[in-house]
Amino acid sequence: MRLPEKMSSYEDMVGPGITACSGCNVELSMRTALQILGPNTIVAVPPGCMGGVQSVGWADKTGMKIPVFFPLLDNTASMLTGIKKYYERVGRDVNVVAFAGDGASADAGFQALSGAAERGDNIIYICYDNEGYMNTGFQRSSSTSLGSWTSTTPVGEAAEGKSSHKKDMPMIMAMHDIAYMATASPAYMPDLIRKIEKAKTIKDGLVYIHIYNSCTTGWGYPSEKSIDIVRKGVKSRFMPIYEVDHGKFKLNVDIKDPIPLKDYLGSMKKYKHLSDHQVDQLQEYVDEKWNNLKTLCEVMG
Amino acid sequence: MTKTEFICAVGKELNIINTGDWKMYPVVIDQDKCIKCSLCFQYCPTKSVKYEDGKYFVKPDFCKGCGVCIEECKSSAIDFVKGE
Amino acid sequence: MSKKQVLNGNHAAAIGALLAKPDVVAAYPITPQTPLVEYFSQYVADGVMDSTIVEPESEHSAMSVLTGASLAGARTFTATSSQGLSLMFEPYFRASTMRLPIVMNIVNREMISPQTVWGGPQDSLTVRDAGWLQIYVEDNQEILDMNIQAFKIAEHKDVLLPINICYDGFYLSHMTEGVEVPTQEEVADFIPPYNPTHVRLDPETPMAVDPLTPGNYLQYYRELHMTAMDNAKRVIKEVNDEFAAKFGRDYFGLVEPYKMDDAEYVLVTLGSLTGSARIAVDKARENGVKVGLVKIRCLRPFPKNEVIELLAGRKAIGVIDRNVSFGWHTGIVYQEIKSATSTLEAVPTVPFIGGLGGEDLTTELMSEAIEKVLEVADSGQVENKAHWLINTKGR
Repeated sequence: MRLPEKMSSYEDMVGPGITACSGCNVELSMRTALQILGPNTIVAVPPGCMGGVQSVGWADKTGMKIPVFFPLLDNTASMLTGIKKYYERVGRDVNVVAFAGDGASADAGFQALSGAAERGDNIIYICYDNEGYMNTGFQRSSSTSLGSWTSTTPVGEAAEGKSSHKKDMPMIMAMHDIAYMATASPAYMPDLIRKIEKAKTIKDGLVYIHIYNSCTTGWGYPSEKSIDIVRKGVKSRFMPIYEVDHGKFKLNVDIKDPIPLKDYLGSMKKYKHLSDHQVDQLQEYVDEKWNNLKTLCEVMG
Repeated sequence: MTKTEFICAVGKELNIINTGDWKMYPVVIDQDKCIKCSLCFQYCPTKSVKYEDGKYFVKPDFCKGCGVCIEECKSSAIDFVKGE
Repeated sequence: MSKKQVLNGNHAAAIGALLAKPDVVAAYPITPQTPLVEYFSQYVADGVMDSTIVEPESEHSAMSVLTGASLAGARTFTATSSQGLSLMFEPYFRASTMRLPIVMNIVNREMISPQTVWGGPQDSLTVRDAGWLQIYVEDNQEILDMNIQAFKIAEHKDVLLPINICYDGFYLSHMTEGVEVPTQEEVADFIPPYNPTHVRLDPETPMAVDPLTPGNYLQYYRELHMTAMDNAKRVIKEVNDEFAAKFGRDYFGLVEPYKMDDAEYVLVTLGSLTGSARIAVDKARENGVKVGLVKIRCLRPFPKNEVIELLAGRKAIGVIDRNVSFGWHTGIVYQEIKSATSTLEAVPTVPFIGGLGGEDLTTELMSEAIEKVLEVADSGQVENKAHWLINTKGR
């Protein structure tokens, strides 16, 4: 079935009106992922953007057509483990899913995620990475890239944005030897859709999908550029799209001629103060990560 | 005192916010120019671009007017309809 | 036919859990609770206990796993102590406010700093306002029996609150006693199955759990929680009586009086230190002093009516606290008692603190407390701070 026919046949599991920023590609990712996962799904949305836009609900009303709940910021994976273990025990195959921001995944919730990965708990953990705690006013996370302006790594006379590099969550999760790890981009929809469909079929361990999103309000670009920005992220090799299927590495989008990193960095306000030195550091980071990835794909492909 | 049938924080009825009110102008796909590349359908964050009977069109109820479909359209078939 | 076994407190708790048949168990080992986790892990490994075990990587995750499982509809069980309890405080507060009837043993242990592992109820007392039911037990038989009763109390439709069975680390957890162990059939007959509808994560009955909630609803849910606590007083007594009728062991419900009929002076206690206090009471009685003892069994909900009834009209009271309440220079149970008796005509009440960090609370120290209570009854003068019971033997 062609993609438009197929996607039209899947009901949108999220309520039609949620207050995500106009153009938010996290809203796009969440709706798409939950369409594919379908009604036999329980989803955890920790505090963060998607929780904040009322996708969990408000007062005594729900934001979704499937069971949805707020875990704590730091225990999404653990709560899902508990839910999944019960359903396995009673013999029901239910999708037990996280749709969690980078804050809840790379920072406060990392221990829980690492524990669940090591135990091989069969949950589908989708991390939407918009490089910060955007819902509460753009505070930094460990997934924020070097040099980014955030409200807790601001730019001034004595500081030039975040001073440490972006934590490489996809690689860290791959190195937990989980069943399936994949990065994805909203700009490469057929690839993202295929990966969520694959996630549904995995029964022998943890699935981690890392979506490289962006944030129109926090990164500072006009809403209509939401896809263009992350496409540039992929084409500059800053956002590598690959998967690790039971230990086998595969590069899904091979960028043979990357666009200059400056094109990507220059398209948004959060990098507008970058010094040449910082741009060099970022280029070095991108090059090293890309080369390591290519090597892993050759050696462990 | 607020009364509810629940003894703890749960919700059953769907909570809907009228985000269709956010846009300044309606968004329309010109069917003559549309080459059916489906990118608008793939990229609409609110799933307001529908695909039915082989046609792509914008359902305005929850469209926020973000402009992504307009930006991504390969044949410039989509635009805001300003004025009357 | 029940069997008598020689068990330490941790083992008794593990057997209580085995008999109650929880669906999902998750516990992180911590001294002095560790053997409990090891016992039930072995039971599951041997196929004797049909529960799904999760090995969490910290106590925070242990309670998180169980709140998740309980939301899906599972009967759940765990245990922890001091540092583990404080680490899991975040999901702990949530378990009660989401009305999840989780059963957790707290093997009472002092809180660090200084570095310590020894027994004392500082850990569970410090979190007494987090909305869980808390029952403090005195011996290993009671540990086993309360682990059975706990599920019936917590899962009762008028309660639906999680419950702590608190027992002293090392004094009970590692000490062996003879314990009657009921059969699986007897216990299955006693505890009805758990099938929640008030909150459930199930695709067949979709609902949002814990959406962002405005104040008017939050306040309402808090009031319902308070009412459930009130109901728990009645339910704890009912389950106590049903248990006594079926298994022949009566724990007196919320408080346990000792020689109170004609008592002029009273010691109030909590936990296993009660044993030494009773011996001191008996000694005083031999010398013609009319002393009695009230053991607080259930701290949450607080048995205000029972305490008022028992303490009214006495000459003086002494409360033995094996814990502290910083800022008041007294223990915590003392404050609870003073608060409960505030409507009574003032009876001089002495706060005692002793036995911290594993120090012995000897019968001599209990006798010293009784002496002080008599002194205060005569003078009517109570100091503004606790009388410290200091063990000088071998120093």
